[in-house]
Amino acid sequence: MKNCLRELRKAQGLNQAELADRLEISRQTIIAIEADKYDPSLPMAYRMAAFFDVPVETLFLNPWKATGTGV
Amino acid sequence: MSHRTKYWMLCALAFGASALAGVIIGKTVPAGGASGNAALLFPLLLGVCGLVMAAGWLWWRNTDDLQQQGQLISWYWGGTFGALAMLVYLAVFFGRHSDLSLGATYLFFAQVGGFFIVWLVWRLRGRGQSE
Repeated sequence: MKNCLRELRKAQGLNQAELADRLEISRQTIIAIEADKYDPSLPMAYRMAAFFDVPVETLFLNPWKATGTGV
Repeated sequence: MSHRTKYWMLCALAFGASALAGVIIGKTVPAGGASGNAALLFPLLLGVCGLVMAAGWLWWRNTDDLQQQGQLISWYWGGTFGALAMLVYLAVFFGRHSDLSLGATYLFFAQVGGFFIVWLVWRLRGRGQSE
């Protein structure tokens, strides 16, 4: 799933290891999400969004909403 | 303490507990033949296995989605295929009714049994109200 985690992380001046430690997850997970290789669970997505103080859909782009099909 | 440090400490605890359990089992169970007081030793060693699982659980709670998914996929597909491949190997090279094949078969049945118990618990815990 496309996301702007890297941009938000860099805007906070954090490296991947620092962000991982702040979110209490692994650096490997941050790397995988930034590379669009892994979609986090809903709780983790909300936790990340809360950390950056943005709505979830700002962090993770909703592909179904973009196409307008909803399927 | 950082999350990373805590994670590796719990990981070391889980592996340390496994190694310790291996030593305890190795010291208490005879190399050949049944144990003299099997009725006492079996529940005792099951308790030791329980402590290993508890240590593993502490580590598991500290892992995130991706790490858990990696473990689950690897154990399910890798572990199952590895066990089946070994089972077939032992049957082919040592005979279906050899001690080795039977021992491996019991282990595999225990694994399947454990799978169904945990799956059932997972299924029941995930139940919601149907409308």
